[in-house]
Amino acid sequence: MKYGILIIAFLAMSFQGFSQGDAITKYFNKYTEDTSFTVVYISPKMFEMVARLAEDEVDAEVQQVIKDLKGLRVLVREGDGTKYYNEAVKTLNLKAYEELMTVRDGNQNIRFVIKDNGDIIEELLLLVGSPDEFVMISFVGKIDLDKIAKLAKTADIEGLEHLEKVGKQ
Amino acid sequence: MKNYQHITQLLDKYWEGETTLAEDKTLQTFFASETIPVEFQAFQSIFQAKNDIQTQTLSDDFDINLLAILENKKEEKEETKIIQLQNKQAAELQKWRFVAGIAASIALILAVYIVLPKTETVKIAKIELTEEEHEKALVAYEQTKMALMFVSATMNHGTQTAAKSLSKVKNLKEVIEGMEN
Repeated sequence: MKYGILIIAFLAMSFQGFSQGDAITKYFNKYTEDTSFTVVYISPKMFEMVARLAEDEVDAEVQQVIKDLKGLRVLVREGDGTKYYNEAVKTLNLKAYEELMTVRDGNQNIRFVIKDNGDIIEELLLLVGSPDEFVMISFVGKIDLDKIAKLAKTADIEGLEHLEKVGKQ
Repeated sequence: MKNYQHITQLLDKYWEGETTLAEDKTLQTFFASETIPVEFQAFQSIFQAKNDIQTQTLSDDFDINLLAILENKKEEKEETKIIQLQNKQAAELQKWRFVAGIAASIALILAVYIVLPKTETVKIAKIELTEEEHEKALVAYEQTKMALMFVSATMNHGTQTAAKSLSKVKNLKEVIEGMEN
Protein backbone atom coordinates (compact mmCIF):
# COMPACT_ATOMS: atom_id res chain seq x y z
CA MET A 1 0.00 0.00 0.00
CA LYS A 2 2.74 2.34 1.04
CA TYR A 3 4.72 1.38 -2.03
CA GLY A 4 1.69 1.98 -4.20
CA ILE A 5 1.42 5.52 -2.89
CA LEU A 6 5.14 6.03 -3.33
CA ILE A 7 5.00 4.80 -6.91
CA ILE A 8 2.08 7.05 -7.73
CA ALA A 9 3.85 10.00 -6.11
CA PHE A 10 6.98 9.17 -8.05
CA LEU A 11 5.10 8.90 -11.31
CA ALA A 12 3.37 12.20 -10.65
CA MET A 13 6.72 13.80 -9.95
CA SER A 14 8.32 12.39 -13.06
CA PHE A 15 5.41 13.56 -15.19
CA GLN A 16 5.78 17.01 -13.74
CA GLY A 17 9.48 16.88 -14.43
CA PHE A 18 9.22 15.92 -18.04
CA SER A 19 6.10 17.45 -19.43
CA GLN A 20 5.48 21.07 -19.94
CA GLY A 21 2.84 22.33 -17.59
CA ASP A 22 -0.59 21.04 -18.47
CA ALA A 23 -2.05 24.51 -18.67
CA ILE A 24 0.61 25.57 -21.15
CA THR A 25 0.10 22.49 -23.30
CA LYS A 26 -3.62 23.16 -23.30
CA TYR A 27 -3.04 26.77 -24.16
CA PHE A 28 -0.74 25.84 -27.03
CA ASN A 29 -3.15 23.22 -28.32
CA LYS A 30 -5.92 25.78 -28.30
CA TYR A 31 -4.10 27.83 -30.92
CA THR A 32 -2.46 25.08 -32.92
CA GLU A 33 -5.29 25.15 -35.44
CA ASP A 34 -5.55 28.94 -35.49
CA THR A 35 -3.78 30.08 -38.65
CA SER A 36 -3.20 33.57 -37.31
CA PHE A 37 -0.73 31.99 -34.89
CA THR A 38 2.68 30.72 -35.71
CA VAL A 39 3.22 27.57 -33.72
CA VAL A 40 6.53 25.82 -33.15
CA TYR A 41 6.91 22.64 -31.18
CA ILE A 42 10.21 20.85 -30.86
CA SER A 43 10.09 17.48 -29.15
CA PRO A 44 12.72 15.86 -26.95
CA LYS A 45 13.49 13.46 -29.81
CA MET A 46 14.11 16.40 -32.10
CA PHE A 47 16.47 17.89 -29.56
CA GLU A 48 18.37 14.62 -29.53
CA MET A 49 18.82 14.91 -33.26
CA VAL A 50 19.85 18.54 -32.98
CA ALA A 51 22.50 17.49 -30.48
CA ARG A 52 23.91 15.18 -33.14
CA LEU A 53 24.49 17.92 -35.69
CA ALA A 54 28.09 18.39 -36.67
CA GLU A 55 30.09 21.03 -34.87
CA ASP A 56 30.67 23.19 -37.91
CA GLU A 57 26.92 23.39 -38.58
CA VAL A 58 26.06 25.03 -35.28
CA ASP A 59 27.24 27.80 -32.99
CA ALA A 60 29.05 26.38 -30.03
CA GLU A 61 27.37 28.77 -27.54
CA VAL A 62 23.90 27.97 -28.85
CA GLN A 63 24.56 24.24 -28.89
CA GLN A 64 25.80 24.50 -25.31
CA VAL A 65 22.35 25.66 -24.28
CA ILE A 66 20.44 23.35 -26.63
CA LYS A 67 22.14 20.18 -25.48
CA ASP A 68 20.36 20.38 -22.13
CA LEU A 69 16.94 21.23 -23.55
CA LYS A 70 14.09 18.74 -23.74
CA GLY A 71 11.30 20.69 -25.32
CA LEU A 72 10.34 23.98 -26.90
CA ARG A 73 7.01 25.54 -27.67
CA VAL A 74 6.62 28.85 -29.43
CA LEU A 75 3.38 30.69 -30.08
CA VAL A 76 3.50 33.95 -32.05
CA ARG A 77 0.72 36.17 -33.28
CA GLU A 78 0.92 39.44 -35.12
CA GLY A 79 -1.42 42.08 -33.74
CA ASP A 80 -3.77 42.11 -30.78
CA GLY A 81 -0.87 41.14 -28.54
CA THR A 82 -2.14 42.77 -25.38
CA LYS A 83 -5.42 40.87 -25.56
CA TYR A 84 -3.75 37.49 -25.88
CA TYR A 85 -1.15 38.40 -23.28
CA ASN A 86 -3.85 39.14 -20.74
CA GLU A 87 -5.67 35.96 -21.67
CA ALA A 88 -2.52 33.91 -21.24
CA VAL A 89 -1.74 35.43 -17.86
CA LYS A 90 -5.27 34.63 -16.74
CA THR A 91 -5.41 31.12 -18.20
CA LEU A 92 -2.01 29.86 -17.19
CA ASN A 93 -1.45 28.89 -13.61
CA LEU A 94 1.41 31.31 -13.08
CA LYS A 95 1.29 30.76 -9.33
CA ALA A 96 3.09 27.48 -9.92
CA TYR A 97 6.00 29.47 -11.30
CA GLU A 98 8.55 31.72 -9.79
CA GLU A 99 8.57 35.22 -11.16
CA LEU A 100 11.87 36.03 -12.75
CA MET A 101 11.15 39.32 -14.45
CA THR A 102 8.17 41.49 -15.20
CA VAL A 103 8.70 44.55 -17.37
CA ARG A 104 6.24 47.07 -18.56
CA ASP A 105 7.76 49.42 -21.03
CA GLY A 106 5.26 51.71 -22.65
CA ASN A 107 2.54 49.44 -24.04
CA GLN A 108 4.74 46.36 -24.07
CA ASN A 109 4.43 43.76 -21.33
CA ILE A 110 7.12 41.19 -20.66
CA ARG A 111 6.86 38.42 -18.19
CA PHE A 112 9.52 35.83 -17.41
CA VAL A 113 8.65 33.01 -15.08
CA ILE A 114 10.59 29.86 -14.18
CA LYS A 115 10.03 26.55 -12.51
CA ASP A 116 13.05 25.30 -10.64
CA ASN A 117 14.12 22.27 -8.74
CA GLY A 118 16.82 23.38 -6.35
CA ASP A 119 19.48 25.20 -8.34
CA ILE A 120 18.36 23.82 -11.66
CA ILE A 121 15.82 25.71 -13.71
CA GLU A 122 13.59 23.16 -15.40
CA GLU A 123 11.19 25.40 -17.23
CA LEU A 124 11.31 28.89 -18.59
CA LEU A 125 8.20 30.62 -19.77
CA LEU A 126 8.25 33.95 -21.53
CA LEU A 127 5.20 36.02 -22.34
CA VAL A 128 5.38 39.18 -24.41
CA GLY A 129 2.36 41.26 -25.25
CA SER A 130 2.06 44.54 -27.12
CA PRO A 131 -0.54 45.90 -29.58
CA ASP A 132 1.77 44.69 -32.38
CA GLU A 133 2.38 41.12 -31.28
CA PHE A 134 1.93 38.33 -28.83
CA VAL A 135 4.77 35.92 -28.09
CA MET A 136 4.82 32.95 -25.80
CA ILE A 137 7.89 30.77 -25.49
CA SER A 138 8.29 27.82 -23.19
CA PHE A 139 11.51 25.92 -22.74
CA VAL A 140 11.86 22.75 -20.69
CA GLY A 141 14.99 20.88 -19.78
CA LYS A 142 18.00 22.10 -17.90
CA ILE A 143 18.11 25.82 -18.41
CA ASP A 144 21.10 27.99 -17.81
CA LEU A 145 19.93 31.61 -17.72
CA ASP A 146 23.43 33.05 -17.76
CA LYS A 147 24.29 31.24 -20.96
CA ILE A 148 21.01 32.29 -22.56
CA ALA A 149 21.50 35.93 -21.54
CA LYS A 150 24.94 35.91 -23.16
CA LEU A 151 23.65 34.61 -26.50
CA ALA A 152 22.15 37.88 -27.70
CA LYS A 153 25.13 39.85 -26.46
CA THR A 154 27.59 37.76 -28.48
CA ALA A 155 25.33 37.74 -31.54
CA ASP A 156 24.57 41.45 -31.04
CA ILE A 157 21.39 41.25 -33.05
CA GLU A 158 18.06 42.66 -32.09
CA GLY A 159 15.88 39.85 -30.80
CA LEU A 160 12.77 41.03 -32.58
CA GLU A 161 14.41 40.60 -35.95
CA HIS A 162 14.96 36.94 -35.12
CA LEU A 163 11.40 36.56 -34.14
CA GLU A 164 10.29 37.52 -37.64
CA LYS A 165 12.46 34.76 -39.00
CA VAL A 166 10.88 32.30 -36.60
CA GLY A 167 7.49 33.34 -37.93
CA LYS A 168 8.51 32.79 -41.53
CA GLN A 169 10.00 29.33 -41.07
CA MET B 1 49.89 -98.54 40.04
CA LYS B 2 47.41 -96.87 42.28
CA ASN B 3 48.81 -93.66 41.15
CA TYR B 4 48.16 -94.60 37.52
CA GLN B 5 44.63 -95.62 38.35
CA HIS B 6 44.07 -92.16 39.76
CA ILE B 7 45.54 -90.66 36.62
CA THR B 8 43.26 -92.76 34.42
CA GLN B 9 40.26 -91.54 36.43
CA LEU B 10 41.38 -87.98 36.16
CA LEU B 11 41.94 -88.32 32.43
CA ASP B 12 38.45 -89.76 31.98
CA LYS B 13 37.12 -86.79 33.91
CA TYR B 14 39.23 -84.45 31.80
CA TRP B 15 37.82 -85.82 28.54
CA GLU B 16 34.40 -85.27 29.96
CA GLY B 17 35.43 -81.75 30.80
CA GLU B 18 34.62 -82.16 34.46
CA THR B 19 38.04 -81.74 36.05
CA THR B 20 38.67 -78.95 38.51
CA LEU B 21 41.58 -76.59 38.15
CA ALA B 22 43.44 -78.52 40.86
CA GLU B 23 42.91 -81.81 39.05
CA ASP B 24 44.10 -80.23 35.81
CA LYS B 25 47.19 -79.14 37.63
CA THR B 26 47.78 -82.70 38.90
CA LEU B 27 47.51 -84.04 35.37
CA GLN B 28 49.88 -81.41 34.08
CA THR B 29 52.51 -82.11 36.70
CA PHE B 30 52.16 -85.79 35.99
CA PHE B 31 52.72 -85.42 32.28
CA ALA B 32 55.52 -82.95 32.94
CA SER B 33 57.42 -85.56 34.85
CA GLU B 34 59.86 -87.64 32.91
CA THR B 35 58.70 -91.09 33.91
CA ILE B 36 55.46 -91.61 32.09
CA PRO B 37 54.13 -95.08 31.41
CA VAL B 38 53.79 -95.98 27.74
CA GLU B 39 50.02 -96.12 27.77
CA PHE B 40 49.93 -92.40 28.74
CA GLN B 41 52.63 -91.21 26.36
CA ALA B 42 50.10 -90.50 23.61
CA PHE B 43 48.52 -87.83 25.74
CA GLN B 44 51.78 -86.32 26.90
CA SER B 45 52.08 -83.88 24.03
CA ILE B 46 48.64 -82.47 24.74
CA PHE B 47 49.35 -81.63 28.36
CA GLN B 48 52.87 -80.47 27.63
CA ALA B 49 51.57 -78.05 25.00
CA LYS B 50 48.96 -76.88 27.41
CA ASN B 51 51.64 -76.39 29.99
CA ASP B 52 53.75 -74.36 27.55
CA ILE B 53 50.87 -72.06 26.76
CA GLN B 54 50.07 -71.48 30.39
CA THR B 55 53.61 -70.86 31.42
CA GLN B 56 54.02 -68.21 28.79
CA THR B 57 54.32 -64.92 30.62
CA LEU B 58 54.35 -61.38 29.40
CA SER B 59 57.81 -60.04 28.90
CA ASP B 60 58.91 -57.16 31.12
CA ASP B 61 58.96 -54.68 28.26
CA PHE B 62 55.53 -55.74 27.10
CA ASP B 63 53.88 -52.67 28.59
CA ILE B 64 56.49 -50.38 27.17
CA ASN B 65 56.20 -51.99 23.77
CA LEU B 66 52.45 -51.79 23.85
CA LEU B 67 52.55 -48.16 24.88
CA ALA B 68 55.06 -47.49 22.15
CA ILE B 69 52.81 -49.14 19.60
CA LEU B 70 49.86 -47.21 20.87
CA GLU B 71 51.89 -44.01 20.72
CA ASN B 72 52.77 -44.79 17.15
CA LYS B 73 49.16 -45.38 16.35
CA LYS B 74 48.30 -42.09 17.95
CA GLU B 75 50.93 -40.29 15.90
CA GLU B 76 49.63 -41.95 12.83
CA LYS B 77 46.21 -40.77 13.73
CA GLU B 78 47.48 -37.25 14.22
CA GLU B 79 49.17 -37.46 10.89
CA THR B 80 45.97 -38.52 9.30
CA LYS B 81 44.33 -35.68 11.16
CA ILE B 82 46.85 -33.27 9.68
CA ILE B 83 46.28 -34.76 6.27
CA GLN B 84 42.57 -34.46 6.80
CA LEU B 85 43.07 -30.87 7.90
CA GLN B 86 45.09 -30.20 4.80
CA ASN B 87 42.36 -31.77 2.78
CA LYS B 88 39.91 -29.56 4.58
CA GLN B 89 41.99 -26.48 3.80
CA ALA B 90 42.20 -27.54 0.21
CA ALA B 91 38.45 -27.96 0.15
CA GLU B 92 38.05 -24.52 1.73
CA LEU B 93 40.38 -23.06 -0.84
CA GLN B 94 38.42 -24.78 -3.56
CA LYS B 95 35.26 -23.31 -2.12
CA TRP B 96 36.72 -19.80 -2.05
CA ARG B 97 38.01 -20.21 -5.55
CA PHE B 98 34.51 -21.17 -6.55
CA VAL B 99 33.06 -18.13 -4.80
CA ALA B 100 35.73 -15.89 -6.30
CA GLY B 101 34.89 -17.31 -9.68
CA ILE B 102 31.24 -16.46 -9.25
CA ALA B 103 32.13 -12.97 -8.00
CA ALA B 104 34.39 -12.43 -10.97
CA SER B 105 31.65 -13.54 -13.34
CA ILE B 106 29.18 -11.17 -11.73
CA ALA B 107 31.71 -8.35 -11.89
CA LEU B 108 32.28 -9.10 -15.54
CA ILE B 109 28.56 -9.13 -16.31
CA LEU B 110 28.07 -5.89 -14.39
CA ALA B 111 30.98 -4.32 -16.19
CA VAL B 112 29.48 -5.33 -19.49
CA TYR B 113 26.12 -3.88 -18.50
CA ILE B 114 27.63 -0.66 -17.18
CA VAL B 115 30.22 -0.06 -19.84
CA LEU B 116 28.32 -1.27 -22.89
CA PRO B 117 25.41 1.18 -22.74
CA LYS B 118 27.90 4.04 -22.54
CA THR B 119 29.81 2.91 -25.56
CA GLU B 120 26.50 2.29 -27.25
CA THR B 121 25.30 5.84 -26.65
CA VAL B 122 28.63 7.05 -27.95
CA LYS B 123 28.04 4.94 -31.02
CA ILE B 124 24.52 6.31 -31.41
CA ALA B 125 25.83 9.83 -31.13
CA LYS B 126 28.30 9.08 -33.87
CA ILE B 127 25.79 7.49 -36.20
CA GLU B 128 25.20 9.86 -39.04
CA LEU B 129 21.74 11.36 -39.27
CA THR B 130 19.85 10.48 -42.41
CA GLU B 131 19.48 13.32 -44.88
CA GLU B 132 15.87 13.87 -43.87
CA GLU B 133 16.71 13.81 -40.17
CA HIS B 134 19.59 16.12 -40.78
CA GLU B 135 17.35 18.58 -42.56
CA LYS B 136 14.78 18.47 -39.77
CA ALA B 137 17.45 18.78 -37.11
CA LEU B 138 18.86 21.85 -38.83
CA VAL B 139 15.42 23.47 -38.99
CA ALA B 140 14.82 22.60 -35.34
CA TYR B 141 18.21 24.00 -34.47
CA GLU B 142 17.54 27.25 -36.31
CA GLN B 143 14.14 27.68 -34.69
CA THR B 144 15.47 26.89 -31.25
CA LYS B 145 18.28 29.34 -31.84
CA MET B 146 15.80 32.05 -32.84
CA ALA B 147 13.68 31.37 -29.80
CA LEU B 148 16.76 31.43 -27.58
CA MET B 149 17.96 34.63 -29.16
CA PHE B 150 14.58 36.19 -28.66
CA VAL B 151 14.48 35.10 -25.04
CA SER B 152 18.01 36.33 -24.56
CA ALA B 153 17.34 39.68 -26.19
CA THR B 154 14.12 40.14 -24.25
CA MET B 155 15.92 39.26 -21.06
CA ASN B 156 18.61 41.81 -21.79
CA HIS B 157 16.02 44.34 -22.88
CA GLY B 158 14.27 43.80 -19.58
CA THR B 159 17.41 44.25 -17.55
CA GLN B 160 18.33 47.28 -19.64
CA THR B 161 14.93 48.78 -19.03
CA ALA B 162 15.39 48.07 -15.36
CA ALA B 163 18.84 49.63 -15.48
CA LYS B 164 17.47 52.65 -17.33
CA SER B 165 14.76 53.09 -14.73
CA LEU B 166 17.29 52.71 -11.98
CA SER B 167 19.54 55.31 -13.52
CA LYS B 168 16.53 57.61 -13.83
CA VAL B 169 15.86 57.12 -10.15
CA LYS B 170 19.49 57.74 -9.47
CA ASN B 171 19.41 60.93 -11.54
CA LEU B 172 16.33 62.04 -9.68
CA LYS B 173 18.07 61.32 -6.43
CA GLU B 174 21.04 63.38 -7.54
CA VAL B 175 18.76 66.23 -8.55
CA ILE B 176 17.04 66.09 -5.19
CA GLU B 177 20.32 65.94 -3.39
CA GLY B 178 21.61 68.82 -5.49
CA MET B 179 18.56 70.87 -4.58
CA GLU B 180 19.02 70.12 -0.96
CA ASN B 181 22.58 71.20 -1.10
